[in-house]
Amino acid sequence: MRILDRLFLWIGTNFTVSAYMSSTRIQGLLWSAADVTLALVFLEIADEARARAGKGRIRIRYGLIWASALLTPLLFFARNPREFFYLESVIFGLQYLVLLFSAFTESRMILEAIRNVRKS
Amino acid sequence: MEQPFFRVMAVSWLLAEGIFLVYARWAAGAVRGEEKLQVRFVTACAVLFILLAGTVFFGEPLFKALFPRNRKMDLFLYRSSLWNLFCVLWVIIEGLIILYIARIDRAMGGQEDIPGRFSAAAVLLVVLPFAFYFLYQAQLVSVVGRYRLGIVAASRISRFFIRICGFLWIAFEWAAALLGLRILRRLCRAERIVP
Repeated sequence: MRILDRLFLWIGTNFTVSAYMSSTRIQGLLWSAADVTLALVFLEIADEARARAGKGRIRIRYGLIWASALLTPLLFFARNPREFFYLESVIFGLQYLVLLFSAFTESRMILEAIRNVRKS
Repeated sequence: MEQPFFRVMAVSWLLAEGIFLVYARWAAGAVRGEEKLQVRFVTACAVLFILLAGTVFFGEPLFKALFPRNRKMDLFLYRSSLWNLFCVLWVIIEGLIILYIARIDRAMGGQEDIPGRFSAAAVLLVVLPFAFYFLYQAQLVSVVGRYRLGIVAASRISRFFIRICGFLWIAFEWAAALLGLRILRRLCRAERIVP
Protein backbone atom coordinates (compact mmCIF):
# COMPACT_ATOMS: atom_id res chain seq x y z
CA MET A 1 0.00 0.00 0.00
CA ARG A 2 1.38 3.39 -0.93
CA ILE A 3 2.24 5.80 1.87
CA LEU A 4 -0.26 8.38 0.54
CA ASP A 5 -3.03 5.78 0.50
CA ARG A 6 -2.23 4.88 4.09
CA LEU A 7 -2.27 8.54 5.09
CA PHE A 8 -5.62 9.18 3.40
CA LEU A 9 -7.15 6.03 4.89
CA TRP A 10 -5.90 7.10 8.32
CA ILE A 11 -7.53 10.53 7.88
CA GLY A 12 -10.73 8.83 6.69
CA THR A 13 -10.80 6.74 9.87
CA ASN A 14 -9.60 9.24 12.48
CA PHE A 15 -10.62 12.73 11.39
CA THR A 16 -14.08 12.36 12.91
CA VAL A 17 -16.69 15.10 13.28
CA SER A 18 -15.56 15.69 16.87
CA ALA A 19 -11.89 15.98 15.79
CA TYR A 20 -13.01 18.31 13.00
CA MET A 21 -15.05 20.43 15.43
CA SER A 22 -12.21 20.67 17.96
CA SER A 23 -9.73 21.83 15.34
CA THR A 24 -12.37 24.13 13.84
CA ARG A 25 -12.92 25.86 17.19
CA ILE A 26 -9.18 26.48 17.60
CA GLN A 27 -8.94 27.65 14.02
CA GLY A 28 -11.95 29.94 14.38
CA LEU A 29 -10.43 31.59 17.43
CA LEU A 30 -7.02 32.08 15.81
CA TRP A 31 -8.62 33.30 12.61
CA SER A 32 -10.86 35.79 14.36
CA ALA A 33 -7.91 37.07 16.42
CA ALA A 34 -5.91 37.56 13.22
CA ASP A 35 -8.84 39.28 11.50
CA VAL A 36 -9.54 41.57 14.46
CA THR A 37 -5.84 42.53 14.63
CA LEU A 38 -5.75 43.13 10.88
CA ALA A 39 -8.93 45.24 10.95
CA LEU A 40 -7.73 47.28 13.94
CA VAL A 41 -4.36 47.92 12.28
CA PHE A 42 -6.12 48.95 9.07
CA LEU A 43 -8.41 51.31 11.01
CA GLU A 44 -5.38 52.77 12.82
CA ILE A 45 -3.68 53.40 9.47
CA ALA A 46 -6.89 55.00 8.19
CA ASP A 47 -7.13 57.12 11.36
CA GLU A 48 -3.53 58.27 10.91
CA ALA A 49 -4.26 59.23 7.30
CA ARG A 50 -7.47 61.00 8.37
CA ALA A 51 -5.59 62.96 11.03
CA ARG A 52 -3.13 64.15 8.39
CA ALA A 53 -6.04 65.22 6.19
CA GLY A 54 -7.62 67.07 9.12
CA LYS A 55 -10.56 64.68 9.49
CA GLY A 56 -12.09 63.26 12.69
CA ARG A 57 -11.44 59.88 14.24
CA ILE A 58 -13.24 56.66 13.27
CA ARG A 59 -15.57 55.42 16.02
CA ILE A 60 -18.43 53.17 14.86
CA ARG A 61 -16.18 50.82 12.87
CA TYR A 62 -13.96 50.26 15.92
CA GLY A 63 -17.12 49.42 17.85
CA LEU A 64 -18.18 46.87 15.22
CA ILE A 65 -14.76 45.19 15.27
CA TRP A 66 -14.78 44.95 19.07
CA ALA A 67 -18.33 43.58 18.89
CA SER A 68 -17.11 40.84 16.54
CA ALA A 69 -14.24 40.14 18.97
CA LEU A 70 -16.75 39.78 21.81
CA LEU A 71 -18.83 37.37 19.74
CA THR A 72 -15.83 35.16 18.92
CA PRO A 73 -15.90 33.03 22.12
CA LEU A 74 -19.39 31.86 21.06
CA LEU A 75 -17.61 29.73 18.44
CA PHE A 76 -16.64 27.39 21.29
CA PHE A 77 -20.28 26.61 21.93
CA ALA A 78 -21.19 25.64 18.35
CA ARG A 79 -22.50 22.07 18.48
CA ASN A 80 -22.05 21.06 14.84
CA PRO A 81 -20.32 22.30 11.65
CA ARG A 82 -23.53 23.97 10.46
CA GLU A 83 -23.96 26.05 13.62
CA PHE A 84 -20.30 26.93 13.48
CA PHE A 85 -20.65 28.14 9.91
CA TYR A 86 -23.63 30.37 10.78
CA LEU A 87 -21.76 31.95 13.70
CA GLU A 88 -18.61 32.29 11.64
CA SER A 89 -20.60 34.07 8.94
CA VAL A 90 -21.86 36.68 11.42
CA ILE A 91 -18.47 37.27 13.09
CA PHE A 92 -16.35 37.36 9.95
CA GLY A 93 -19.11 39.05 7.96
CA LEU A 94 -18.92 41.96 10.38
CA GLN A 95 -15.13 42.16 10.08
CA TYR A 96 -15.19 41.89 6.30
CA LEU A 97 -17.87 44.58 6.02
CA VAL A 98 -15.80 46.99 8.09
CA LEU A 99 -12.69 46.25 6.01
CA LEU A 100 -14.60 46.60 2.73
CA PHE A 101 -16.26 49.86 3.76
CA SER A 102 -12.92 51.23 4.93
CA ALA A 103 -11.21 50.19 1.71
CA PHE A 104 -13.93 51.95 -0.32
CA THR A 105 -13.91 55.15 1.71
CA GLU A 106 -10.35 55.57 3.01
CA SER A 107 -8.01 54.07 0.43
CA ARG A 108 -7.34 57.35 -1.43
CA MET A 109 -6.51 59.13 1.80
CA ILE A 110 -4.25 56.32 3.01
CA LEU A 111 -2.47 56.26 -0.31
CA GLU A 112 -1.89 60.01 -0.15
CA ALA A 113 -0.41 59.68 3.35
CA ILE A 114 1.90 56.86 2.24
CA ARG A 115 3.02 58.82 -0.79
CA ASN A 116 3.89 61.78 1.42
CA VAL A 117 5.97 59.51 3.65
CA ARG A 118 7.83 58.23 0.59
CA LYS A 119 8.53 61.79 -0.59
CA SER A 120 9.89 62.75 2.82
CA MET B 1 -22.02 23.20 -0.47
CA GLU B 2 -25.56 21.89 -0.52
CA GLN B 3 -27.25 24.63 1.52
CA PRO B 4 -28.23 27.88 -0.26
CA PHE B 5 -26.84 29.92 2.66
CA PHE B 6 -23.46 28.17 2.36
CA ARG B 7 -23.39 28.97 -1.33
CA VAL B 8 -24.23 32.64 -0.79
CA MET B 9 -21.53 32.98 1.88
CA ALA B 10 -18.91 31.19 -0.23
CA VAL B 11 -19.58 33.53 -3.16
CA SER B 12 -19.72 36.62 -0.91
CA TRP B 13 -16.36 35.81 0.69
CA LEU B 14 -14.80 35.23 -2.68
CA LEU B 15 -16.15 38.58 -3.88
CA ALA B 16 -14.85 40.37 -0.77
CA GLU B 17 -11.40 38.79 -1.10
CA GLY B 18 -11.36 39.66 -4.80
CA ILE B 19 -12.15 43.31 -4.04
CA PHE B 20 -9.32 43.41 -1.46
CA LEU B 21 -6.97 41.93 -4.04
CA VAL B 22 -7.89 44.59 -6.62
CA TYR B 23 -7.39 47.35 -4.01
CA ALA B 24 -4.06 45.92 -2.84
CA ARG B 25 -2.80 45.64 -6.42
CA TRP B 26 -3.90 49.16 -7.23
CA ALA B 27 -2.32 50.58 -4.05
CA ALA B 28 0.97 48.71 -4.55
CA GLY B 29 1.26 50.24 -8.04
CA ALA B 30 0.09 53.71 -7.01
CA VAL B 31 2.58 53.96 -4.14
CA ARG B 32 5.37 53.49 -6.65
CA GLY B 33 3.84 56.07 -8.99
CA GLU B 34 2.67 53.38 -11.43
CA GLU B 35 -1.07 53.98 -11.18
CA LYS B 36 -1.98 51.67 -14.05
CA LEU B 37 -5.54 51.16 -15.21
CA GLN B 38 -6.72 47.84 -13.90
CA VAL B 39 -9.34 47.29 -16.58
CA ARG B 40 -7.86 44.04 -17.89
CA PHE B 41 -7.13 42.63 -14.46
CA VAL B 42 -10.58 43.56 -13.12
CA THR B 43 -12.30 42.18 -16.24
CA ALA B 44 -10.43 38.88 -15.93
CA CYS B 45 -11.30 38.65 -12.22
CA ALA B 46 -14.95 39.51 -12.93
CA VAL B 47 -15.25 36.85 -15.64
CA LEU B 48 -13.68 34.25 -13.33
CA PHE B 49 -15.94 35.29 -10.50
CA ILE B 50 -19.10 35.05 -12.65
CA LEU B 51 -18.05 31.58 -13.85
CA LEU B 52 -17.41 30.41 -10.29
CA ALA B 53 -20.61 31.93 -8.91
CA GLY B 54 -22.52 30.37 -11.81
CA THR B 55 -20.99 26.99 -10.99
CA VAL B 56 -21.95 27.33 -7.33
CA PHE B 57 -25.60 28.11 -8.08
CA PHE B 58 -26.22 26.18 -11.31
CA GLY B 59 -23.42 23.59 -11.43
CA GLU B 60 -25.19 20.95 -9.40
CA PRO B 61 -28.41 20.83 -11.46
CA LEU B 62 -26.22 20.71 -14.57
CA PHE B 63 -24.15 17.88 -13.07
CA LYS B 64 -27.31 15.93 -12.26
CA ALA B 65 -28.68 16.55 -15.77
CA LEU B 66 -25.44 15.45 -17.42
CA PHE B 67 -25.06 12.36 -15.22
CA PRO B 68 -28.64 11.31 -14.39
CA ARG B 69 -27.48 7.95 -13.06
CA ASN B 70 -24.82 9.36 -10.78
CA ARG B 71 -24.32 7.69 -7.44
CA LYS B 72 -24.45 9.58 -4.14
CA MET B 73 -20.68 9.31 -4.03
CA ASP B 74 -20.27 11.05 -7.41
CA LEU B 75 -22.37 13.96 -6.20
CA PHE B 76 -20.38 14.07 -2.98
CA LEU B 77 -17.08 14.18 -4.91
CA TYR B 78 -18.44 16.96 -7.12
CA ARG B 79 -19.44 19.03 -4.05
CA SER B 80 -16.14 18.30 -2.32
CA SER B 81 -14.16 19.40 -5.39
CA LEU B 82 -16.13 22.64 -5.65
CA TRP B 83 -15.96 23.57 -1.95
CA ASN B 84 -12.25 22.72 -1.76
CA LEU B 85 -11.65 24.77 -4.90
CA PHE B 86 -13.14 27.78 -3.14
CA CYS B 87 -10.95 27.11 -0.11
CA VAL B 88 -7.83 27.01 -2.21
CA LEU B 89 -8.87 30.16 -4.08
CA TRP B 90 -9.13 32.03 -0.76
CA VAL B 91 -5.62 30.85 0.09
CA ILE B 92 -4.29 32.05 -3.26
CA ILE B 93 -6.01 35.44 -3.06
CA GLU B 94 -4.83 36.00 0.53
CA GLY B 95 -1.30 35.09 -0.48
CA LEU B 96 -1.35 37.56 -3.36
CA ILE B 97 -2.78 40.30 -1.14
CA ILE B 98 0.14 39.81 1.28
CA LEU B 99 2.56 40.03 -1.60
CA TYR B 100 1.11 43.41 -2.60
CA ILE B 101 1.10 44.67 1.00
CA ALA B 102 4.75 43.61 1.28
CA ARG B 103 5.42 45.63 -1.86
CA ILE B 104 3.83 48.72 -0.29
CA ASP B 105 5.90 48.16 2.85
CA ARG B 106 9.12 47.84 0.84
CA ALA B 107 8.28 50.96 -1.15
CA MET B 108 7.74 52.91 2.08
CA GLY B 109 11.11 51.72 3.31
CA GLY B 110 12.71 53.01 0.10
CA GLN B 111 13.61 49.50 -1.08
CA GLU B 112 13.42 48.74 -4.79
CA ASP B 113 11.95 45.55 -6.20
CA ILE B 114 14.42 42.95 -7.42
CA PRO B 115 13.31 42.35 -11.05
CA GLY B 116 11.52 39.04 -11.54
CA ARG B 117 11.38 38.23 -7.83
CA PHE B 118 7.87 39.58 -7.37
CA SER B 119 6.52 37.78 -10.44
CA ALA B 120 8.20 34.53 -9.40
CA ALA B 121 6.65 34.78 -5.92
CA ALA B 122 3.23 35.52 -7.43
CA VAL B 123 3.46 32.55 -9.80
CA LEU B 124 4.50 30.25 -6.95
CA LEU B 125 1.63 31.51 -4.78
CA VAL B 126 -0.81 30.56 -7.53
CA VAL B 127 0.75 27.35 -8.87
CA LEU B 128 1.67 25.60 -5.60
CA PRO B 129 -1.79 25.75 -3.95
CA PHE B 130 -3.49 24.74 -7.21
CA ALA B 131 -1.10 21.82 -7.65
CA PHE B 132 -1.76 20.75 -4.06
CA TYR B 133 -5.52 21.01 -4.64
CA PHE B 134 -5.46 18.90 -7.82
CA LEU B 135 -3.20 16.25 -6.31
CA TYR B 136 -5.28 16.07 -3.13
CA GLN B 137 -8.60 15.76 -5.00
CA ALA B 138 -7.13 13.22 -7.43
CA GLN B 139 -5.84 11.15 -4.52
CA LEU B 140 -9.24 11.43 -2.79
CA VAL B 141 -11.07 10.15 -5.90
CA SER B 142 -8.48 7.43 -6.37
CA VAL B 143 -8.63 6.21 -2.74
CA VAL B 144 -12.44 6.28 -2.73
CA GLY B 145 -12.52 4.17 -5.90
CA ARG B 146 -9.82 1.67 -4.99
CA TYR B 147 -10.78 1.06 -1.38
CA ARG B 148 -14.55 1.50 -1.87
CA LEU B 149 -14.79 4.11 0.87
CA GLY B 150 -18.18 5.34 2.03
CA ILE B 151 -19.40 8.94 2.19
CA VAL B 152 -18.41 9.27 5.88
CA ALA B 153 -14.74 8.41 5.30
CA ALA B 154 -14.62 10.47 2.10
CA SER B 155 -16.10 13.51 3.81
CA ARG B 156 -13.50 13.23 6.60
CA ILE B 157 -10.71 13.29 4.02
CA SER B 158 -12.36 16.19 2.21
CA ARG B 159 -12.76 18.17 5.44
CA PHE B 160 -9.11 17.63 6.29
CA PHE B 161 -8.25 19.64 3.17
CA ILE B 162 -10.40 22.52 4.47
CA ARG B 163 -8.49 22.33 7.74
CA ILE B 164 -5.12 22.61 5.97
CA CYS B 165 -6.39 25.62 3.99
CA GLY B 166 -7.76 27.12 7.21
CA PHE B 167 -4.38 27.16 8.88
CA LEU B 168 -2.86 28.72 5.76
CA TRP B 169 -5.46 31.55 5.86
CA ILE B 170 -4.63 32.18 9.49
CA ALA B 171 -0.89 32.31 8.77
CA PHE B 172 -1.53 34.71 5.87
CA GLU B 173 -3.88 36.92 7.89
CA TRP B 174 -1.31 37.22 10.69
CA ALA B 175 1.35 38.03 8.11
CA ALA B 176 -0.91 40.76 6.67
CA ALA B 177 -1.59 42.13 10.17
CA LEU B 178 2.15 42.25 10.98
CA LEU B 179 2.95 43.95 7.69
CA GLY B 180 0.13 46.40 8.40
CA LEU B 181 1.71 47.15 11.78
CA ARG B 182 5.02 47.91 10.08
CA ILE B 183 3.28 50.26 7.65
CA LEU B 184 1.49 51.96 10.55
CA ARG B 185 4.80 52.39 12.40
CA ARG B 186 6.43 53.91 9.33
CA LEU B 187 3.49 56.30 8.94
CA CYS B 188 3.57 57.38 12.60
CA ARG B 189 7.35 57.78 12.59
CA ALA B 190 7.23 59.94 9.47
CA GLU B 191 4.77 62.27 11.16
CA ARG B 192 7.39 63.18 13.71
CA ILE B 193 9.97 63.94 11.01
CA VAL B 194 7.78 65.85 8.56
CA PRO B 195 6.98 69.34 9.85
